[in-house]
Formats: sequence, C-alpha cells, structure tokens
Amino acid sequence: MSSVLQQASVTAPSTGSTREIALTGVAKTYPLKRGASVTALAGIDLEIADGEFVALLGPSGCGKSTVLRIVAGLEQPSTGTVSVGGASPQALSKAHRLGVAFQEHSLLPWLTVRQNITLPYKVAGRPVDTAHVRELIDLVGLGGFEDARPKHLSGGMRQRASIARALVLDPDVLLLDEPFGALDAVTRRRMNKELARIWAELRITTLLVTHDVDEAVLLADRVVVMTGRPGRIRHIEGIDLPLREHTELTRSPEFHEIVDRLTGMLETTKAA
Amino acid sequence: MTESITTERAVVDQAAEELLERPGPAATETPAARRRNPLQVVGRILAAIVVRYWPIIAMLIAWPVWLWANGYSRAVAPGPLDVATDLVQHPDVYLLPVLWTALFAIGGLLLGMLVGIVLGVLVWMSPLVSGLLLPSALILRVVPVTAMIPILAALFGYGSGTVVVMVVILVFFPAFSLTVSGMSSVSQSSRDLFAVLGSGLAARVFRLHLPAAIPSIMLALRISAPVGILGVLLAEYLLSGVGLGDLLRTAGERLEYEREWAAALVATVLSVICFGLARTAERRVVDRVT
Ligand SMILES: Nc1ncnc2c1ncn2[C@@H]1O[C@H](COP(=O)(O)OP(=O)(O)OP(=O)(O)O)[C@@H](O)[C@H]1O
Ligand SMILES: [Mg+2]
Repeated sequence: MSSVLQQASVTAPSTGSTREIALTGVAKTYPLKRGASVTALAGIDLEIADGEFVALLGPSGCGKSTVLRIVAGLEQPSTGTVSVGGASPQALSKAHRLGVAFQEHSLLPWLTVRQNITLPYKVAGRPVDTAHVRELIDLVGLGGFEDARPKHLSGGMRQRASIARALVLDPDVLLLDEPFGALDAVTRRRMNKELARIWAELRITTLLVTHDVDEAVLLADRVVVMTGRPGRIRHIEGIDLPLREHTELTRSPEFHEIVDRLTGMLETTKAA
Repeated sequence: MTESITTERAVVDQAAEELLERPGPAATETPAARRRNPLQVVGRILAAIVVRYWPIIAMLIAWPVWLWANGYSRAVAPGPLDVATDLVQHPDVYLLPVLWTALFAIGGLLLGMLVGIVLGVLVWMSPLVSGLLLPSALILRVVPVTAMIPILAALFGYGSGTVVVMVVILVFFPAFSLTVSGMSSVSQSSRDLFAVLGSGLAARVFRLHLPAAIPSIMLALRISAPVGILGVLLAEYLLSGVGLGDLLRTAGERLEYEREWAAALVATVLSVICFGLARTAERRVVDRVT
C-alpha cells in the first residue's frame, strides 16, 4: 500500500486531494553578521502525498528543522516554492488545519496541561470538545496531571503535552520535530505505537523529524535521509513492511535490514 | 527610549532587592547547625531585625538625644514618646484620614495601572497609536506633577478628582512602558506556536502577549505603590480637605507638632505596607505565570 502512495507522491498532480505537500527546488540561506551567510538547505525536492507519513533523518544541523519550518510557513524559502494542498502553508495555518509539535515544547507557562491542550480551540474560536481533550490526555499518558503547570512536569511530559496539543484539532497536516526526543526508550515505543494507531485511523499527512532510525522505519511510509552543509536529500527509502502496528515487526529481519542500511548511511554521512 | 527610563528604574530596584535578599555568610550553615535551643532562635531573630532595620532603631535613639542636645522643648519638636502618646490617645483623629489616603492611593494606583496597560497594549499593537501617544506620554512623564496642579485643579476641581488624577499621572508611565516591553519579550517559539495555530491579533494579544507581560506589569505595580501614596499625600497637602496630607498641613498650621509628626509616621507606615503588599502580590502572581 505504501508503494502505491509512494508512486502517487511521485506523479501526483496538485489537483484532487487537498493535503499534499510539495517542496520544489527549495534552498534556504540565513544571513549572518557582516554580510556572511549560511546555506542551510540547497535544492530540496520533496513531495508528500495526501495521507502519507514521511520521516526525516539526518545528522544534527543538516537542516531538518528548517525543512519543517518552511512547510509550517514559519520561514520563506530563499529560492524554490512550497505548497500545501495547492496553497501556501500560511493558508493552512489560517484555516486551523495544521498541527505542529516543535523541537522545543513551547507550552505556555501560565496555563495548565489541560488549558495548553485546549489552546488551539480557543485560538480558532471553536467550542472545546472536552471528551476529545480527555481522550488525548489519556492517550499521551498525562492523566492525573491535567491541572499541573508545565514547570512542574518533566521534559518528556512536556513533549507529550505538546503532541496532544498538535493533535487536538484533528489537523490535515501534522509536523513533528523530534517529538519523542526527551522520552525514555520504553515510553518512546509506547508513544510510537499510539501514534501509529491514531495515524492508521486518521491518515493525517505527516512529516516527522527524528534521530531514531527504528522510529522512522516503524512509523513512516518513506524515510528521507539528509546530508548536511548544505542540507540536501541523500536518499529516499520506501518502507513496505506488513503489520505496521504489530509488536513483532521490530523483531523481523526485513525491519532490521532496513534499519541497518539507513544507520550505515547516516554514519557515512557524518564521516563525510 | 521610553522603555529605558522605567526599565532603568526597575533594574535599580531589582538590584537593590537582590542585594537585600542575598544570603549572608550565615546562610551557608547546615540546617542541623541551625536547630538549637529556643533562646538562640530568639537571639537570631533579634539579630536579624537589628541587621535589617538598624537605621530605624538608630533614629529612635538619636531623635531624643538630638532634642536634648539642642535643648528643644516640646513646643519646638516633639519626642518619640509625645508622638506615640498622641497616636494612642486620639486614634480617631488618624483613622479617617488613613482610610481616605489609602482609598485614594489604591483607587488611583489601580486606575493608573489600567490606563498604563491599555495604552501599552494600544501602542504595542499599532505604530500609528504609538506615534500619536508617545510624545504626550513623555511630556506627562517629564513635567513635574506639582507644576501641573493649577491646571489639574482648574479641570477637576480642588477635591478628590484632582487627587486621583495626580496619582494616575504619576503611576501610568511605568505600567505603560513595562507593558510594552513585557509584551515584546515573548519568545520566538511561542510566536511560532501562535503563527501555526493561525491566531488572529486579538488571540495573540490576550492569550499570548498580555499574559507574558504580567511579570513586567506586576513589577510596575511594585514600583508604583509607594509613588501612589506620595502622590496622594502631596495632592491632599496642597488641595483637598481630607486625608493624611490634609492632617499634616492642618496640624502644622495649628502648631500641633506631635500630631504632625505622628501623621508623618503613619504615612510612612502606610507607604511601607503598600509596598509590602504590592511585593507579595508580585511574587504570588509571578510564581503563578512563569
Ligand atoms: N535562524 C537562523 N539563523 C541562522 N542560521 C540558522 C537559523 N536556523 C538554523 N540555522 C542554521 O541552519 C542549519 C540547519 O539548522 P536546523 O535547525 O534546520 O538543523 P537540524 O537538522 O534541525 O538540527 P538538529 O537535529 O540539531 O535539530 C544550521 O547550520 C543552523 O546553524
Ligand atoms: Mg532541529
């Protein structure tokens, strides 16, 4: 099935579905002091089909967050174009159809966990669906901490709260920047499974930045490996594994073959 | 520039307070060493009081010594005992003025804070409003408030209206400029969050920038609390027929020096209480929003 999506993503015309992401010839240069500049991205071409899950792997500083911020409409590409559902990324966020969990959790310190998670409703001027909020709080395992404020939570708990916040409006496009970075291995796998379950249900177009190769292979339809200085796409791996939500998957030889190959690729990337 | 004036003052305030609360050499002792007998505990507390409030104690001693050395009689300057006696024997004389002054100070303070915050929000939102308001705000800031009294009295009468307006003029500026700087201090990641949530201006102001400015606003309240009392006393002294300022003046005119000095003492205590309350409120609120 993911091979179908993969193919669709290569040939998909920008008509029809409304949630596909397209980056075409995107480069990003940040100006530095005294006229110098740093090229964070160069020649990025990436299409993510409607309902596809793409993971972004690469060494630190290679431009993964920059790709995500461009798709979120927080940065303008220096050259090239980006479109989401055929329109600008800003149009998507203005319609309250974008969910983002940033690398920094960015919870508001004056709000409780519950209030932080309901914030998207308030900003969108929509009535709060308390049952849905309740569900999400349980889903990310923060039951009992609804009324705690961010400063009283651990780093991992804050990240989970911000994932719940990203999901709360049932967005069309989900952007996750190392959302599980501060979690222990066990909680991380549990959150992976929950995300896989939600994702199997909702089929949200998703871009996930991660350092965890297992996580990328486990969750994504395609894994994009990037190299740094300037950030380019080195390899795109289509993942076609059966029984994605199944516990046994991580023990299968096919899974390990892919993980090992991608890990090797990352290692040589770092050496370069 | 407007920000820097008040911020400078806030920085000085902050520095003074941090200095005050810096743990001394004694604080390095372990808790076990602290747990001694009750006598030692009382001794410690007394020592702490002396260390903190020695100027007041020194003044209470120097005061009668100074009267005695100069050979001043009670008719020229009262001693501490005379002042205390008048306070204890005629509490009714002080009660109503204290209430008036407190009422005007708190009312003027809150109104001034409100004016400052509203102006701050408007200026933050719109460069046009900023261009229209900043020059006049700066003038109000720079003209000595006593120099404005004739105009204010002509506009608002020789009564409570002018008293409140004077406090508002004294108080609004720190609230205004600290609101603006607090609203501008929002972190990039929070701005990004509201951008991807598709937030409109109203939600950005009321759900992000204004809550983020609360610590600065509370700082403005703490700076302004004693200034508010000062403003009320001054206005009462010069204009109205009520309050501690009025008591100060009438007692002076009638050569009732015990009363005049006692009124000054009461005003000082009131100012200290106001500052203390504002500081407690600031700590509580800042703890709640950060
Ligand atoms: N606002 C900025 N101004 C200047 N340079 C920037 C800015 N943001 C990112 N960069 C540069 O762009 C490059 C890519 O940064 P980016 O944050 O996208 O990396 P990343 O792949 O997300 O790294 P990590 O895995 O450590 O989060 C880095 O070299 C960084 O120095
Ligand atoms: Mg990053």
